[in-house]
Amino acid sequence: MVDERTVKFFEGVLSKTKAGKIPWEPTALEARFIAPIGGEFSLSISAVVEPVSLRDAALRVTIKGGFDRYTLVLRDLHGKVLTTVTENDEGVRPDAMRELYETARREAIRPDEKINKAIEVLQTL
Amino acid sequence: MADFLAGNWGNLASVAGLVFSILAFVFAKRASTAAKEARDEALRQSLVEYLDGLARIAAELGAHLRSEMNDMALLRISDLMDQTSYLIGRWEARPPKKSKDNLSRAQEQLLSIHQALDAAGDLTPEDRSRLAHAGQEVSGIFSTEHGVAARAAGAGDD
Repeated sequence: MVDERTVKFFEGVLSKTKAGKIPWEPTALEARFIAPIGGEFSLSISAVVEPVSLRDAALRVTIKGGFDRYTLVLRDLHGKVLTTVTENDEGVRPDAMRELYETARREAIRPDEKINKAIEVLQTL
Repeated sequence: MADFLAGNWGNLASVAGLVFSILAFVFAKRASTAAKEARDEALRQSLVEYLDGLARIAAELGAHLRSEMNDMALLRISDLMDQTSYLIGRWEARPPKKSKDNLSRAQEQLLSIHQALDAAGDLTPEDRSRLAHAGQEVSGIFSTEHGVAARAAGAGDD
């Protein structure tokens, strides 16, 4: 069953992130980004690689790999988890979750700005 | 005069009673305001002292991270997380929105540092760099908030 509130919350975070209204920032973990909002809550989004191992008996080979699982967490000022959203939640599109993560990551580490700066440096060499 | 007093003693007593009631109300109000101001001042001062303590622990955390003393760093993280929760619980209504956002950021950064240190395997130089950066940010947050609280307490003194 679709939890309308969860979907509305997720869509709100996605739209505000795309509009650059949420101040995502990096953390000590490579694949986690955080943002305080409104003096009352904090958001965190993280990606965890889920290992996958496929064994093909006929070919006698094992294919190892992984795929990212994304988790969006809302906490209150006391650090209590209020809700957790994953791409497995009904009504939350996996590609939208990935889009949220990638947009938050770009906002946090601003690779475009750094690449532009690197280009400027290269031009001075 | 004596006749006037004799004839109006009831009215005069009422007026005198009213005047005393008004005076009593004014003095009680002043005493209440003074007590509230003293209580606020004590709260402001204790917030400054508390944040000073947190800033010191956060600086120690940064030093432990730089020295790769993970066990000591984990202890300091635990202290900071507990004490930040206490601070928020006790002074929740006091800090401005920006300060609350900063405390939220500090809590999330502490959580990420804790998880990074707890993760299995050796830390890469990139991991170390992220840890140092996060530790620096936590230390900066508590120092800034200590300054903000001290300024607010100073303004209260004026």
